[in-house]
Amino acid sequence: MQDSSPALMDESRRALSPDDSHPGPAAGLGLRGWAVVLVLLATLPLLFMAVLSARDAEKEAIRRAHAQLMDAASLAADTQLRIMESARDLLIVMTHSPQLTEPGWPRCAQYFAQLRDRFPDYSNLGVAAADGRVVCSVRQGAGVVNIGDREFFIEALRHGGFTVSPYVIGRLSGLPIITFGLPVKAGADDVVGVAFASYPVAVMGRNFDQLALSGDTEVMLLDGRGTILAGRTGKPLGVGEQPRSPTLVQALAGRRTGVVEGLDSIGQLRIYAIAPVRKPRLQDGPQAGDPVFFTVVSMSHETVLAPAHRTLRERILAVLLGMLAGVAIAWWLGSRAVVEPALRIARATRRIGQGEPVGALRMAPFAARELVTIARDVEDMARVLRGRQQDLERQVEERTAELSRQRARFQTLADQAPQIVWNTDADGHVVYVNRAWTDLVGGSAEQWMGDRWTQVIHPDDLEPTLARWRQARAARATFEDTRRFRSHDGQWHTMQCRAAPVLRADGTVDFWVGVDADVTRMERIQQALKRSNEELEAFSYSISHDLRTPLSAINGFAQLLGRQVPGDAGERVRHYAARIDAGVRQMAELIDDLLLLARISRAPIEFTQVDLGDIARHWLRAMAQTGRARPVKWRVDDGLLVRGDERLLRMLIENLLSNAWKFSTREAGVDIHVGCSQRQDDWIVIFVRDSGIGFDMAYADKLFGAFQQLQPARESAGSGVGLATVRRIVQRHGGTVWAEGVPGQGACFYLRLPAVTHGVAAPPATAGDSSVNDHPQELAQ
Amino acid sequence: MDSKPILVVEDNPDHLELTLLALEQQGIANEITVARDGVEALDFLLGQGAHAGRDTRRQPVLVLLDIKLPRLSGLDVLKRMREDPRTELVPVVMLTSSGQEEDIAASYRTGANSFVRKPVDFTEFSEKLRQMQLYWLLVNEPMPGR
Repeated sequence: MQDSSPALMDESRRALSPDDSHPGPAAGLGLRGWAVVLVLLATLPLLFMAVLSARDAEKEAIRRAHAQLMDAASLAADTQLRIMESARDLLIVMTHSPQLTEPGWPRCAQYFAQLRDRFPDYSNLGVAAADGRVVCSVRQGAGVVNIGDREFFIEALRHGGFTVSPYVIGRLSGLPIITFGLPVKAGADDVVGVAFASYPVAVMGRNFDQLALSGDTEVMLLDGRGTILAGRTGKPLGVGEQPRSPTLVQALAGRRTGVVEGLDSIGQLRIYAIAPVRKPRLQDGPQAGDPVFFTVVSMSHETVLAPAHRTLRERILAVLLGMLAGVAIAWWLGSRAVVEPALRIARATRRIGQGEPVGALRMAPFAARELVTIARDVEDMARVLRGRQQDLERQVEERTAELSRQRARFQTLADQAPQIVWNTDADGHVVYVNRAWTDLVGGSAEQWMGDRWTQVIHPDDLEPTLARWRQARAARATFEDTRRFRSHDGQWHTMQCRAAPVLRADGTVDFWVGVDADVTRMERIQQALKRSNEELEAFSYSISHDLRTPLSAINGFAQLLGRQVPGDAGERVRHYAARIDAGVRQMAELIDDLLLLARISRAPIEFTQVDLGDIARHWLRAMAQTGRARPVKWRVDDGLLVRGDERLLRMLIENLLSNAWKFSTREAGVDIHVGCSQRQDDWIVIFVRDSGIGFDMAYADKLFGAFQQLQPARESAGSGVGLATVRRIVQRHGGTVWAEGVPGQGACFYLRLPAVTHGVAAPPATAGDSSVNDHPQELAQ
Repeated sequence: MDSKPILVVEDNPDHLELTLLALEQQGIANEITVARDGVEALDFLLGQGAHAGRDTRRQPVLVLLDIKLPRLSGLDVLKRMREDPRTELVPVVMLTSSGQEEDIAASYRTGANSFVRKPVDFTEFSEKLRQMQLYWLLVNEPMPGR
C-alpha cells in the first residue's frame, strides 16, 4: 500500500507547489493578473481619446483666441479712430470759427481760454502762424514756441489736410503727445496758419483696461513707425521705444496686420493680433493712406491653452481613477471568482495526492462556473479515491491477516515437523530454523542464525558440505547432502539434507528452503540389513553346497546298496532305497526352492513389457508335451500385458501354473484359466484359476507363508515354498497377491501388477471386442 | 587307447567314491587321477610339489573340477591353469553340487569349458557322467598338435 516510491512522491509534490500561497509555476501571470491586464488594456483607448480631444480643444482654443484677440485689436483701433475723429471734428470747428479766421487773430486768446475747460482731455489746443510761431494756445507759452519744424505742421501747410504727428514730446506740455493739425484758411485756399490739438498718449490708452481679456493679455498702441505710445501690459511699458518682441517688430516693419504668432521678448510663444488705425478723412468716409497707429492685442500660448490642458489633466485623472477602480474590482473579483476557488481546488488535490481525506469544497457565490464544475469533479474524485483507498485498506488488512495466518500455519507446521526445516537468505546465511534443530543441537533458534551451523558439523564433513553448498548456490540448483551434526548430548547424527532455492521473477535467488532428516537410525538399520543380506548369501551358498553334498552321498549309496543285495531280500532293500531316494529328492527340491526364494529377494529388477499370456501358453504347451497323463483343459486370454522383470514374472507364472497343475492331480478334467479381472490406468489384476482341489478360505492368510502347505505332503508334490516365492515376486513389483478358494471346487489366485501404460505400449488389438478369447482347447494325453 | 588320464578333483570322499564308481561302471579305459584338494591338483597339473618331475606334456584329457575345495578353490585352480601355457587348453568341466548363478558365471568367465551340476540322484549322476565322457573323449575333437 505505502510502497509508492519516495522519488515519485517528491515529483508530485514539486509539481503541485512548494508554497501554499502560490500554486502553479512561479513564473507567469496568475488569473488575477490577467484580469488586471485586461482592465488596463480596456482603459488605454480612453486615455488615447482624452489626448486626442485635448488636441482638438487646443486647436479650437487657439482659433477662438485668434478671433477674440483680433476683435479686441479692432475695437482698440476703433477707439483710436474715434479719438482722431473727435480731434479732427474739433479742429474743423476751430478752423471754421471766426476767431481764427479773422486776420491777425485778435480774439484768439480769448477763444482758447473758453476752450480750455471744455476739452480737458487735450494737453493743448492752439493755432500756429504759417511761419510756425504759436499765436494762441490753451497753455501758456504762445508766441514763444515755434512748431514750424513739426512734421504734422509742414504736411498740413503743404497738403492742406488733417495731419497726425508721430510720437513727440510736447514743447509746451513736456508730455509725450500726439498732435493733430488742420490748416486755417482765411479764404479759399489762403492758408494763414495751422490749428493743432495735442493729445497725451497716456490718455489714449485710457480705456485699454476694458479690452483686457485676461491677466496675461497685453494691449498696446503704437504709432506708424512702431513706437510704443500706450498700452496695458504686465511689464513696464517703454513708451516712446520699440517693442522688445522681435516678432512684433518684424511684423510692424512689414506693415503686417492680422494675427501673428511668434516669440515675445522673454522667448514665450505669443499670439499677436495687429489692427491698423488709418487717418480719417476730413469728411466722414473710408479711411485711406498708411496706418498712423497700430493696436496690438496679444496673449501667450500658455494662457490660451491653459483651459484645454486643464481639461486634459482632469480627463486623464478621471481615466486613471477609473482604471484604478477597474483594477481593484478585477483584482477583488478575480480573487473571489477564480483565485480563491482555484487555490481551494489545488489544496484539495494536493491533499488527495497526499492521501488525506477531503470533504465538501465550499465555493464562493462569485466563483467561476467552470471552477465550480471542477470542484464538484474533484469532490467526486476524492470520494471515489477514498472509497478505493478504503477498499484497498480492507484488502490489505485481509491479506495481512491471511498472511499472518499462513505464517502461523507455516510456523506451527515447521515446528511440528520431525525434520529440521531451515531458511537462508540469498547469500546462504541461515535466517530461520525450526524446533527440530534446536531440539537436536540445543540453544534457541536466534543463536543459530548466520553460519553458526558450521560449529556443530563433523570436521570431516565440513569441507565437502561447504563445497556442495557453494556449487548448488552457484548453479541455483537443488542442494543435496548427507553430513553429521553433533547433538547437544555430544552424539553424532547423520542428517540427510535437501534444499532448493526460491527464485524471484527475474531469476535471482530470493531465499533457500531446506529440510534435514535424521537418518542415523535408518543408516544403522540399512547397515544391519546389508550385513544380514551378506550373511544370508553366505548361508544360501552353504545350503546350496553343503546341504546337497550329503544328499548325493545318501542317494548314491542307497541305490548302490539296493543293487548289492540279490533276490527277495534285495527287493526289500531296493524298496527302502527307493524311499530314501524320494526323501532325498524332496529334500533337494526344498533346498532349491529356498535358494530361489532367497535369490529373488535380492535380485535386481529390470522393468520391461511382459506378456504373461505368452509365458503361460508356452509353459502349458510344454507341460502338455511332457506326457504326464492328465486331461487338462486350459484357456489363456489375450492382452495380459504387465510391466515387470521378465525372468521373475516367468518364475511367478510357472509357479502358479505348476501349482494348478499339481493340485488337479486327482481330478478328471481340470480347467486352468488365465485372464484379467480388472484393468485400470496403472494397474492390472490377473488371475490364474483352476478347478482343482481348492482350499479352505479360513487358511487363505497362511497360504503365502514359506513352508505352509495346506495339503498333506503325500497328496501333492511341493515344498511349500512356491507361494512364498510368488508373493515375494509380486511384492518386488510393488503389487499384491491374494487367493480365493472352495475346497474341492478349485482355487483362484489374483495378481495385482503394474500395467503397461499407454505411453509404453499399445494394448493388444483384440482387447476391445474379445478380451476373453477362447483358446483352442488342448487336451493332454 | 589313448592313455591320457582323467583328473578328478574332489575333496568329499563320498562323492569321490560315487564318482569313481560311476566312471568305473562306464568302463572307461583312461587312467583316472584323483586330487583331494586344489593344491594337489595344481601340483599334478604343473608337475610340482608331490608330483615334481612329472612329464607335464602329458596333460589330462579332461579335468572334473569341484568348486568348493580346501586350500585352493576350484575357481583358483582353473585360473592358474588358464594362466599356464601347459594347461591353458586342457578341457575343464566344473562338476559341483552348487547351483549358484554366481559360481556358474565366474566359472565360465575364468575359462571353464562346461559346468555340470551334480544331481542328487545317483542314477542321474551316472548318466550325466556317461554323456560327459562320451562327449569329451569321443565326440569332441581335441586341440591338435600334442
